[in-house]
Amino acid sequence: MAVSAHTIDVEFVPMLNHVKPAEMGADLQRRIHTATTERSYDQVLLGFGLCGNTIVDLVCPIPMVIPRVHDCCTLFMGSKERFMEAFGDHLSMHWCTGGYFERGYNQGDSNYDWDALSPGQRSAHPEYMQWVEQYGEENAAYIWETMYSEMGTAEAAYIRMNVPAYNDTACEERFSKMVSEQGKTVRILQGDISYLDALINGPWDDARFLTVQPGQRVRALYDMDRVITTQ
Amino acid sequence: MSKCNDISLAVQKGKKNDAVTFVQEALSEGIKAEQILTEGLLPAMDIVGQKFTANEIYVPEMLIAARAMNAAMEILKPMLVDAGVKPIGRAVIGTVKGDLHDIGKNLVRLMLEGKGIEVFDLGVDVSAEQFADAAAEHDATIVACSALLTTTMTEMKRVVEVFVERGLRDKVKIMVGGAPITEAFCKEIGADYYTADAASAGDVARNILVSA
Ligand code: B12
Repeated sequence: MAVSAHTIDVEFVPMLNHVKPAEMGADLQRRIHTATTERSYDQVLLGFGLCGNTIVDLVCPIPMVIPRVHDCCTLFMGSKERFMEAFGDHLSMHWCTGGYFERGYNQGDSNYDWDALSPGQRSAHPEYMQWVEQYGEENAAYIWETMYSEMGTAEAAYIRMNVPAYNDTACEERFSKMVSEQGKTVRILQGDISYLDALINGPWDDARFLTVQPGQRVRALYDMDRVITTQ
Repeated sequence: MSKCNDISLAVQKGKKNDAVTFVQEALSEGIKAEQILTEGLLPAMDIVGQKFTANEIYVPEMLIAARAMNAAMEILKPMLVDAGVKPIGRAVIGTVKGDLHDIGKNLVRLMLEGKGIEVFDLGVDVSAEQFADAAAEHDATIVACSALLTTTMTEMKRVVEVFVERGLRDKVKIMVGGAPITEAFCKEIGADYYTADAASAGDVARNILVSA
């Protein structure tokens, strides 16, 4: 963004909201409203996918560009084609990027000690401690096992973003350790920043991006190709 | 009935051991298994479901409540069978192909069981063909599909198609659900019923079987 030809203000949304799509949608709408009333912009660029219907019904008083993706995984992979190639046969394959890992993927945005995610050390995990406090040790253990059970696929993917200023090694190693403790193997995938780059810098071609005009609402199509539309 | 109320509260709070103890106490006081189910367990899960839908409680609370309900059900099941409470019908349930999320599906199974339905749980990552095979094998009236990913929910359309291809479509009612699913989507793919939560899924399933 710093090197973009455009002047861009960035607003980050806490990752925690991901577990509550309905609230996240309301939060996004508020942010869009605030941003567009406080300053005059040409465009809103929404770095979100359909994300469990989070963006359905959003409106924007100025044109808003949204990538045609189900969730950020396609953005990290660089294209629908590359996403389908890697994930088409395992749509639930657990995946991770450096940024995702650092922020704690399904867990909110506090600074987790990811090494604590292995079952033996779960007692040190802040979320686990909170459950113990609220629901007792036995229930907390059950919640943990259900939420972090070794779901299905024998593999988990680490997506290397290969961006110059970022070194993946540390996260990759810790992710690999965590995953192998769950008895899974890690598949390293090469990410591709170009989709995200296009979101920031254009071009916003209709094949990859939906432009929502003032007065239109975001609607879901759910297919693999167009994903979203307007009404 | 205050004992049933105690049971309900224990389930709502996810206090499994209390729920089990209260159920045993109720039984020894001579309260019938069926009454414990309809006045204790089912209302408890109704309340939990409503609170979940209203964002008053979240996944962890939901999970432990379901677990307490499950533990209580395990005690009651053999008694319900002994008492000659025959299943009102059969259902197959599963999470669709490509999808491994199963918390919601398990709750729906519990609620169907609570309504006296015999449920065959196919687990997660269930293909359209597997749904059809199982429905035929168990002669099920209800096929319940769950999906949590927008990338896998389209698999439900395939489920409907496979039942049509195999000439089984008229024999079953297909129910769909999971967080991203909507009534409009259900109609669009030609499924029969959508409900937003497990408690109403139980009610709808019961109505299907009772009116059949
Ligand atoms: C818990 C959860 C998980 C758990 C699942 C544990 C388990 N055993 O199921 C874990 C942490 C493992 C997980 C993992 C992933 N998840 Co997840 N997960 C969720 C979360 C937070 C809640 C789902 C849930 O269990 N809700 C609680 C239950 C009770 O609700 P429910 O399922 O909706 O069911 C209710 C109703 O819908 C209805 N119902 C359900 N089924 C049916 C069926 C019928 C027939 C009927 C009538 C009704 C009905 O009744 C239920 C009770 O009222 C959702 C977000 C959300 N809030 O939906 C994301 C979410 C579904 N996950 C998501 C993703 C992306 C993933 C991952 C792929 C992430 C990753 N980076 O790897 C992984 C992949 C899985 C893996 N291999 O590990 C995304 C999906 C985005 C998309 N593309 O659609 C979501 C939407 C989060 C988000 N906003 O990004 N996840």
